[in-house]
Amino acid sequence: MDIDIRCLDEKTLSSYLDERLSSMERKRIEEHIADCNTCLDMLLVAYESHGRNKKCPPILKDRIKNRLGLKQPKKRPELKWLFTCLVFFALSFIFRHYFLQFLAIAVILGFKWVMEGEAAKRVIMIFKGIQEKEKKFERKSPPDVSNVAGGDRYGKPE
Amino acid sequence: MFDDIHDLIERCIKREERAWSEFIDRFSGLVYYSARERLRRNGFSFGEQDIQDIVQNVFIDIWEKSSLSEVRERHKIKAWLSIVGQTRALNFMRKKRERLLGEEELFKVENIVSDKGEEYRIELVEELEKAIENFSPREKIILKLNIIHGKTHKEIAGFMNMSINTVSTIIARRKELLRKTLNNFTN
Repeated sequence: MDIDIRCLDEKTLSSYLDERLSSMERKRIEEHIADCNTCLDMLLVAYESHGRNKKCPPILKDRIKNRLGLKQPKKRPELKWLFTCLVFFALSFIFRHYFLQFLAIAVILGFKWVMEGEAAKRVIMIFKGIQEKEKKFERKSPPDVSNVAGGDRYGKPE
Repeated sequence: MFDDIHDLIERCIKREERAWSEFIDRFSGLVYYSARERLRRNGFSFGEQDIQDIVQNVFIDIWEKSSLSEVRERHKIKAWLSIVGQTRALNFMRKKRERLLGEEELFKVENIVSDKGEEYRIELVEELEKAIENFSPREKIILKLNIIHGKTHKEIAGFMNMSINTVSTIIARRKELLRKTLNNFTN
Protein backbone atom coordinates (compact mmCIF):
# COMPACT_ATOMS: atom_id res chain seq x y z
CA MET A 1 0.00 0.00 0.00
CA ASP A 2 2.24 2.80 -1.26
CA ILE A 3 1.43 6.33 -2.32
CA ASP A 4 1.17 6.54 -6.09
CA ILE A 5 2.64 9.48 -8.01
CA ARG A 6 -0.76 9.91 -9.65
CA CYS A 7 -2.40 10.24 -6.24
CA LEU A 8 -4.09 13.48 -5.27
CA ASP A 9 -2.14 15.99 -3.20
CA GLU A 10 -2.88 16.35 0.51
CA LYS A 11 -4.91 19.55 0.14
CA THR A 12 -7.15 18.26 -2.65
CA LEU A 13 -7.69 14.92 -0.93
CA SER A 14 -8.59 16.45 2.43
CA SER A 15 -11.03 18.88 0.79
CA TYR A 16 -13.32 15.88 0.14
CA LEU A 17 -14.40 16.02 3.78
CA ASP A 18 -15.58 19.59 3.33
CA GLU A 19 -19.36 19.71 2.99
CA ARG A 20 -19.10 22.90 0.97
CA LEU A 21 -17.07 21.28 -1.81
CA SER A 22 -18.57 21.72 -5.27
CA SER A 23 -20.17 18.65 -6.84
CA MET A 24 -17.72 18.78 -9.75
CA GLU A 25 -14.72 18.75 -7.42
CA ARG A 26 -16.30 16.00 -5.36
CA LYS A 27 -16.88 13.90 -8.47
CA ARG A 28 -13.26 14.34 -9.55
CA ILE A 29 -11.97 13.13 -6.18
CA GLU A 30 -14.45 10.24 -6.15
CA GLU A 31 -13.20 9.09 -9.55
CA HIS A 32 -9.75 8.75 -8.00
CA ILE A 33 -10.60 7.21 -4.62
CA ALA A 34 -12.93 4.67 -6.25
CA ASP A 35 -9.85 2.96 -7.68
CA CYS A 36 -7.16 4.06 -5.17
CA ASN A 37 -7.48 2.13 -1.93
CA THR A 38 -4.64 4.09 -0.27
CA CYS A 39 -6.33 7.47 -0.69
CA LEU A 40 -9.74 6.06 0.29
CA ASP A 41 -8.29 4.57 3.47
CA MET A 42 -6.44 7.81 4.29
CA LEU A 43 -9.65 9.79 3.97
CA LEU A 44 -11.40 7.24 6.15
CA VAL A 45 -8.81 7.63 8.93
CA ALA A 46 -9.14 11.43 8.66
CA TYR A 47 -12.93 11.11 8.90
CA GLU A 48 -12.76 8.68 11.81
CA SER A 49 -10.31 10.87 13.71
CA HIS A 50 -13.14 13.34 14.39
CA GLY A 51 -14.50 12.96 17.87
CA ARG A 52 -11.93 10.36 18.91
CA ASN A 53 -9.99 10.78 22.11
CA LYS A 54 -6.65 11.81 20.68
CA LYS A 55 -3.87 12.34 23.17
CA CYS A 56 -0.30 13.25 22.52
CA PRO A 57 2.37 12.61 25.19
CA PRO A 58 3.11 15.95 26.95
CA ILE A 59 6.84 15.28 26.60
CA LEU A 60 6.43 15.21 22.81
CA LYS A 61 4.56 18.52 22.80
CA ASP A 62 7.40 20.09 24.79
CA ARG A 63 9.95 18.53 22.43
CA ILE A 64 8.25 20.06 19.38
CA LYS A 65 7.95 23.47 21.06
CA ASN A 66 11.62 23.40 22.04
CA ARG A 67 12.62 22.38 18.52
CA LEU A 68 10.66 25.34 17.09
CA GLY A 69 12.25 27.64 19.65
CA LEU A 70 8.94 28.58 21.26
CA LYS A 71 9.22 30.14 24.67
CA GLN A 72 7.56 28.04 27.31
CA PRO A 73 6.33 29.61 30.52
CA LYS A 74 8.58 28.59 33.36
CA LYS A 75 6.77 26.56 35.92
CA ARG A 76 7.67 27.59 39.46
CA PRO A 77 5.33 25.50 41.62
CA GLU A 78 7.78 25.58 44.54
CA LEU A 79 7.08 29.30 45.11
CA LYS A 80 3.66 28.50 46.56
CA TRP A 81 5.39 26.63 49.40
CA LEU A 82 7.59 29.63 50.18
CA PHE A 83 4.61 31.98 50.15
CA THR A 84 2.55 29.75 52.48
CA CYS A 85 5.58 29.30 54.73
CA LEU A 86 5.92 33.09 55.08
CA VAL A 87 2.21 33.45 55.80
CA PHE A 88 2.37 30.89 58.63
CA PHE A 89 5.54 32.50 59.95
CA ALA A 90 3.76 35.86 60.12
CA LEU A 91 0.68 34.26 61.71
CA SER A 92 2.83 32.79 64.47
CA PHE A 93 3.61 36.35 65.62
CA ILE A 94 0.04 37.55 65.23
CA PHE A 95 -1.55 34.68 67.18
CA ARG A 96 1.00 34.34 69.96
CA HIS A 97 -1.14 31.75 71.68
CA TYR A 98 -0.41 29.26 68.83
CA PHE A 99 3.13 30.49 68.20
CA LEU A 100 4.79 27.04 68.25
CA GLN A 101 2.11 25.37 66.13
CA PHE A 102 2.30 28.02 63.41
CA LEU A 103 6.09 28.00 63.55
CA ALA A 104 6.20 24.21 63.14
CA ILE A 105 3.96 24.43 60.06
CA ALA A 106 6.15 27.22 58.67
CA VAL A 107 9.28 25.07 59.15
CA ILE A 108 7.65 22.07 57.39
CA LEU A 109 6.57 24.23 54.45
CA GLY A 110 10.00 25.84 54.32
CA PHE A 111 11.58 22.39 54.13
CA LYS A 112 9.17 21.46 51.32
CA TRP A 113 10.16 24.64 49.42
CA VAL A 114 13.85 23.84 49.72
CA MET A 115 13.38 20.21 48.63
CA GLU A 116 11.27 21.12 45.59
CA GLY A 117 13.70 23.74 44.39
CA GLU A 118 15.77 23.13 41.25
CA ALA A 119 19.03 23.26 43.19
CA ALA A 120 17.87 20.61 45.68
CA LYS A 121 16.65 18.39 42.83
CA ARG A 122 20.05 18.69 41.13
CA VAL A 123 21.85 17.76 44.36
CA ILE A 124 19.59 14.71 44.81
CA MET A 125 20.22 13.63 41.19
CA ILE A 126 24.00 13.93 41.64
CA PHE A 127 23.80 11.97 44.88
CA LYS A 128 21.76 9.19 43.20
CA GLY A 129 24.22 9.13 40.27
CA ILE A 130 27.17 8.66 42.64
CA GLN A 131 25.33 5.87 44.45
CA GLU A 132 24.59 4.03 41.17
CA LYS A 133 28.23 4.35 40.06
CA GLU A 134 29.39 2.90 43.36
CA LYS A 135 26.99 -0.03 42.99
CA LYS A 136 28.27 -0.75 39.46
CA PHE A 137 31.85 -0.61 40.67
CA GLU A 138 31.04 -3.05 43.46
CA ARG A 139 29.47 -5.49 40.99
CA LYS A 140 32.48 -5.34 38.65
CA SER A 141 35.19 -5.98 41.26
CA PRO A 142 36.29 -9.68 41.42
CA PRO A 143 35.04 -11.75 44.32
CA ASP A 144 37.38 -12.22 47.24
CA VAL A 145 38.04 -15.95 47.40
CA SER A 146 41.23 -15.87 49.47
CA ASN A 147 39.40 -17.31 52.46
CA VAL A 148 37.57 -20.08 50.56
CA ALA A 149 39.18 -23.36 51.42
CA GLY A 150 39.82 -25.79 48.56
CA GLY A 151 38.78 -23.37 45.82
CA ASP A 152 40.69 -21.70 43.01
CA ARG A 153 40.63 -17.96 42.48
CA TYR A 154 37.16 -18.15 40.82
CA GLY A 155 35.71 -20.03 43.71
CA LYS A 156 35.41 -23.37 41.87
CA PRO A 157 36.18 -26.45 43.99
CA GLU A 158 39.34 -28.25 43.03
CA MET B 1 -7.35 30.90 24.37
CA PHE B 2 -8.22 31.02 20.63
CA ASP B 3 -11.85 30.03 20.20
CA ASP B 4 -11.89 30.30 16.45
CA ILE B 5 -9.65 27.94 14.45
CA HIS B 6 -9.55 30.44 11.58
CA ASP B 7 -8.16 33.10 13.92
CA LEU B 8 -5.65 30.64 15.37
CA ILE B 9 -4.35 29.67 11.92
CA GLU B 10 -4.09 33.33 10.85
CA ARG B 11 -1.95 34.05 13.91
CA CYS B 12 0.15 30.95 13.26
CA ILE B 13 0.82 32.19 9.73
CA LYS B 14 2.07 35.44 11.30
CA ARG B 15 4.32 33.21 13.45
CA GLU B 16 2.95 34.31 16.79
CA GLU B 17 4.54 32.13 19.44
CA ARG B 18 1.46 31.83 21.64
CA ALA B 19 -0.66 30.79 18.67
CA TRP B 20 1.87 28.14 17.65
CA SER B 21 2.01 26.80 21.17
CA GLU B 22 -1.79 26.52 21.15
CA PHE B 23 -1.72 24.98 17.66
CA ILE B 24 0.65 22.22 18.87
CA ASP B 25 -1.40 21.63 22.03
CA ARG B 26 -4.60 21.38 20.03
CA PHE B 27 -3.55 19.33 17.02
CA SER B 28 -0.56 17.18 18.02
CA GLY B 29 -2.97 14.51 19.31
CA LEU B 30 -4.70 14.36 15.93
CA VAL B 31 -1.41 13.96 14.02
CA TYR B 32 -0.22 11.39 16.58
CA TYR B 33 -3.43 9.34 16.19
CA SER B 34 -3.41 9.55 12.36
CA ALA B 35 0.26 8.55 11.97
CA ARG B 36 -0.13 5.63 14.37
CA GLU B 37 -3.36 4.46 12.74
CA ARG B 38 -1.81 4.61 9.26
CA LEU B 39 1.19 2.47 10.26
CA ARG B 40 -1.06 0.03 12.08
CA ARG B 41 -3.44 -0.31 9.12
CA ASN B 42 -0.54 -0.81 6.71
CA GLY B 43 0.87 -3.59 8.87
CA PHE B 44 4.07 -1.83 9.88
CA SER B 45 5.82 -2.78 13.10
CA PHE B 46 6.74 0.47 14.79
CA GLY B 47 7.87 1.84 18.11
CA GLU B 48 6.82 4.83 20.18
CA GLN B 49 9.99 6.63 19.09
CA ASP B 50 9.04 6.25 15.40
CA ILE B 51 5.65 7.89 15.98
CA GLN B 52 7.18 10.70 18.03
CA ASP B 53 9.74 11.40 15.29
CA ILE B 54 7.00 11.47 12.64
CA VAL B 55 4.79 13.88 14.61
CA GLN B 56 7.73 16.16 15.36
CA ASN B 57 8.75 16.22 11.69
CA VAL B 58 5.20 17.10 10.60
CA PHE B 59 5.12 20.23 12.79
CA ILE B 60 8.69 21.26 11.92
CA ASP B 61 7.86 20.88 8.23
CA ILE B 62 4.72 23.00 8.52
CA TRP B 63 6.70 25.65 10.42
CA GLU B 64 9.67 25.73 8.04
CA LYS B 65 7.69 25.61 4.79
CA SER B 66 4.91 27.88 6.10
CA SER B 67 2.46 25.33 4.72
CA LEU B 68 -0.44 26.69 6.75
CA SER B 69 -0.81 29.66 4.42
CA GLU B 70 -1.43 27.28 1.53
CA VAL B 71 -4.40 25.51 3.11
CA ARG B 72 -7.42 26.74 1.24
CA GLU B 73 -10.10 25.59 3.62
CA ARG B 74 -8.85 26.68 7.01
CA HIS B 75 -11.85 25.39 8.90
CA LYS B 76 -10.99 21.95 7.50
CA ILE B 77 -7.50 22.01 8.95
CA LYS B 78 -8.14 18.78 10.88
CA ALA B 79 -8.69 16.68 7.75
CA TRP B 80 -5.60 18.18 6.12
CA LEU B 81 -3.42 17.59 9.19
CA SER B 82 -4.61 14.01 9.44
CA ILE B 83 -3.73 13.31 5.79
CA VAL B 84 -0.33 15.02 6.20
CA GLY B 85 0.37 12.92 9.31
CA GLN B 86 -0.48 9.75 7.41
CA THR B 87 1.58 10.48 4.29
CA ARG B 88 4.58 11.48 6.41
CA ALA B 89 4.23 8.26 8.40
CA LEU B 90 4.36 6.21 5.20
CA ASN B 91 7.34 8.20 3.87
CA PHE B 92 9.14 7.80 7.19
CA MET B 93 8.76 4.01 7.16
CA ARG B 94 9.77 3.81 3.50
CA LYS B 95 12.94 5.77 4.23
CA LYS B 96 13.63 3.62 7.28
CA ARG B 97 13.31 0.49 5.13
CA GLU B 98 15.66 1.92 2.49
CA ARG B 99 18.18 2.95 5.14
CA LEU B 100 18.19 -0.51 6.69
CA LEU B 101 18.50 -2.08 3.23
CA GLY B 102 21.49 0.16 2.61
CA GLU B 103 23.05 -1.02 5.81
CA GLU B 104 22.33 -4.62 4.76
CA GLU B 105 20.37 -5.22 7.93
CA LEU B 106 17.84 -7.37 6.15
CA PHE B 107 16.61 -9.06 9.28
CA LYS B 108 15.49 -5.67 10.57
CA VAL B 109 13.75 -4.84 7.27
CA GLU B 110 11.69 -7.99 7.54
CA ASN B 111 10.69 -6.95 11.01
CA ILE B 112 9.28 -3.64 9.82
CA VAL B 113 6.40 -5.20 7.87
CA SER B 114 4.22 -7.85 9.38
CA ASP B 115 1.58 -9.15 6.97
CA LYS B 116 -0.10 -11.49 9.39
CA GLY B 117 -3.85 -11.57 8.77
CA GLU B 118 -3.53 -9.32 5.74
CA GLU B 119 -3.67 -12.10 3.14
CA TYR B 120 -7.40 -12.74 3.48
CA ARG B 121 -8.15 -9.02 3.28
CA ILE B 122 -6.04 -8.57 0.16
CA GLU B 123 -7.77 -11.53 -1.48
CA LEU B 124 -11.19 -10.08 -0.61
CA VAL B 125 -10.23 -6.68 -2.04
CA GLU B 126 -9.03 -8.27 -5.27
CA GLU B 127 -12.19 -10.31 -5.68
CA LEU B 128 -14.41 -7.34 -4.91
CA GLU B 129 -12.56 -5.07 -7.30
CA LYS B 130 -13.07 -7.53 -10.13
CA ALA B 131 -16.77 -7.77 -9.32
CA ILE B 132 -17.40 -4.01 -9.17
CA GLU B 133 -15.21 -3.06 -12.14
CA ASN B 134 -18.12 -1.75 -14.19
CA PHE B 135 -19.87 0.12 -11.38
CA SER B 136 -19.83 3.93 -11.16
CA PRO B 137 -17.08 5.52 -8.93
CA ARG B 138 -19.65 6.43 -6.28
CA GLU B 139 -21.06 2.91 -6.19
CA LYS B 140 -17.56 1.45 -5.97
CA ILE B 141 -16.71 3.61 -2.94
CA ILE B 142 -19.97 2.78 -1.17
CA LEU B 143 -19.54 -0.97 -1.64
CA LYS B 144 -15.87 -0.91 -0.59
CA LEU B 145 -16.72 1.03 2.55
CA ASN B 146 -19.56 -1.35 3.35
CA ILE B 147 -17.92 -4.68 2.53
CA ILE B 148 -14.19 -4.15 3.16
CA HIS B 149 -14.27 -1.52 5.89
CA GLY B 150 -17.51 -2.71 7.49
CA LYS B 151 -19.06 0.77 7.62
CA THR B 152 -22.75 1.25 8.33
CA HIS B 153 -25.08 3.06 5.92
CA LYS B 154 -25.15 6.04 8.27
CA GLU B 155 -21.34 6.23 8.46
CA ILE B 156 -21.03 6.01 4.67
CA ALA B 157 -23.66 8.72 4.23
CA GLY B 158 -21.74 11.00 6.62
CA PHE B 159 -18.42 10.32 4.95
CA MET B 160 -19.70 10.91 1.42
CA ASN B 161 -22.04 13.77 2.31
CA MET B 162 -25.07 11.90 0.95
CA SER B 163 -28.47 10.93 2.34
CA ILE B 164 -28.79 7.55 4.07
CA ASN B 165 -31.65 6.61 1.72
CA THR B 166 -29.45 7.01 -1.35
CA VAL B 167 -26.68 4.92 0.24
CA SER B 168 -29.13 2.19 1.29
CA THR B 169 -30.71 2.07 -2.19
CA ILE B 170 -27.33 1.70 -3.91
CA ILE B 171 -26.21 -1.04 -1.49
CA ALA B 172 -29.48 -2.96 -1.80
CA ARG B 173 -29.46 -2.77 -5.60
CA ARG B 174 -25.86 -3.82 -6.06
CA LYS B 175 -25.51 -6.37 -3.28
CA GLU B 176 -27.68 -8.97 -4.97
CA LEU B 177 -25.46 -8.93 -8.02
CA LEU B 178 -22.36 -9.03 -5.86
CA ARG B 179 -23.68 -11.90 -3.79
CA LYS B 180 -23.69 -14.11 -6.86
CA THR B 181 -20.21 -13.02 -7.93
CA LEU B 182 -18.63 -13.30 -4.48
CA ASN B 183 -20.42 -16.50 -3.60
CA ASN B 184 -17.51 -18.64 -4.71
CA PHE B 185 -15.08 -16.58 -2.64
CA THR B 186 -16.99 -16.57 0.63
CA ASN B 187 -17.87 -20.25 0.44
